[in-house]
Amino acid sequence: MTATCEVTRFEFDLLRILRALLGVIPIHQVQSLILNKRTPPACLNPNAVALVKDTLAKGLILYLVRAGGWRDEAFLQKDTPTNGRVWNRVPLAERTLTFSRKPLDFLLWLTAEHPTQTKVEWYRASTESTAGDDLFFQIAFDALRDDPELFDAFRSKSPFLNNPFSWLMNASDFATVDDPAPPSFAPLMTGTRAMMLECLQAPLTKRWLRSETAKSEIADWNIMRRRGIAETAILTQFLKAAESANRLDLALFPLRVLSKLFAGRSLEPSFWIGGLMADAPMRLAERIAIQRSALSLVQQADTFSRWHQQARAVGYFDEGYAASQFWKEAYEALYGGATITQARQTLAALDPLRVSAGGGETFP
Amino acid sequence: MSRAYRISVKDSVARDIRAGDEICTQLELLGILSPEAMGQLLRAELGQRGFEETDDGKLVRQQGDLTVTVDPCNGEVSVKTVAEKSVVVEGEREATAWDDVGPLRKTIEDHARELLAKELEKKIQKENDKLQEKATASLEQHLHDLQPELAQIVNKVTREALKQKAATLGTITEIAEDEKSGSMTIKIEV
Repeated sequence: MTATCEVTRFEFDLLRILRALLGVIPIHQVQSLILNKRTPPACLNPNAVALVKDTLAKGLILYLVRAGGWRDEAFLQKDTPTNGRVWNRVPLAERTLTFSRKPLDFLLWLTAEHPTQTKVEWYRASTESTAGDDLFFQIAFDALRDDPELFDAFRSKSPFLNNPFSWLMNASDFATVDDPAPPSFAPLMTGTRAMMLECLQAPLTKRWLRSETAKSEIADWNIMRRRGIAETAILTQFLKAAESANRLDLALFPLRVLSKLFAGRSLEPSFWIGGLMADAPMRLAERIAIQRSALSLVQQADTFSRWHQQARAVGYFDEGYAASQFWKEAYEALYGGATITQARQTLAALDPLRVSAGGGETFP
Repeated sequence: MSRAYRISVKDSVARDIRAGDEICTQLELLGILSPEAMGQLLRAELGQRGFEETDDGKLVRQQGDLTVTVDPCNGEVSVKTVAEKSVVVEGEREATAWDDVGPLRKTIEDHARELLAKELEKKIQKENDKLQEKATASLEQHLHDLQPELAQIVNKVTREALKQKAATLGTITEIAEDEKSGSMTIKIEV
């Protein structure tokens, strides 16, 4: 028997928008609902609130499971590699999603207002976002970003701008200023957000790989410069946060991208910068700086190499032995050594004065 | 009856303009000896090639508009070109007024002068761009000549370091060097 409950027309529209944001129905089916302005009710029926809660909780769990939670993988749990699907390896407390009022406020606003024309704000800066909120807003941003007007309207809003998931998943969206300020990635390294990041490893790999391979289509030097600066800021801070929290397992996706990119072959810098056209900056120094920043991901090779050397130096009786073994196994499985060598050769090709005495350790 | 008056404004701007370009790289020397000893060998080799030591311990060589700076402590190399020029740009602008005196004439003259100043500024910017192009072209040209020299320096320092290292292992009985191929064979008696 199916239980039914009554909702008003406004609530029905709100629920449809929520289902579209979560990918249950195509977003274009609710485009007109989003762009229509109507008067919101004084309050929502308890039935509707319960349905929103249920849709949110189930929708995000389904998203995480589909993104990678179903995979039988190993991640670190308290410095110890733990195998299994996400529901087997992560304790219940860490995979229980909670939400603040923010998603509901956002849905009310999105249903009632025209997002690009209204001056009414919906977010409360004072309340802290939960892990569930952050993931919801990332998914919502993803669903809405195909519409340029909506994309512009939301990009600068706090729940998206200060959302570490948004920066990691759509790095190029934030390459609009010369000095981007990514939010702290430290919260992603613990608790529920870390569980989410474990599930998101595959989509992150896919997105960064797509972004790297599409760089050769960028013709404008200024766009490339901003893109490089944003990506360098994101990757540097993200890898630093992972290292500080001893969660190198969460930072495997950039190494996975590098490994897929090089895959035993050498790549010329033109793979990234081959599309840059005329109107280059006059100064050679500036041109080289832009070319280097275009290879922002490749430049992280030194960090992975350093992590590997540190892992090799951990002895059997030392603290963190299991975690270091885990890193070494993952590094070798991704052909880390060969990948890093290829990455360094690619970077060296960008240096017009590169002089080397040969392989091996250099000084100092 | 009104008469048209032609107002002519002339001006010139003299300015010293300066443009430059710089690139940095790293000499990758093998850690055959201690970093201090490798740095010492590099310092000696650079000294023989006309580099002079500055107060901060870096070695600098100036060749015309090109300055090469090497930090022997970490192998950092900076190559810089600077171009300077004094430019004088002149211009003239004409405007038409219906009065040869009074506020209208003054306004038109001021406007013409303003436009002329902008025009002269553009000319200076053009000169600046030309100078920048020249400085960058000069740097690119010098890089072609400098790259082999830096390779020779690294090679020489590496060979010297190997000789010193070999001497610490035993008595050197024979050293065969091939300058062309860059190969070196050291025989030691332990």
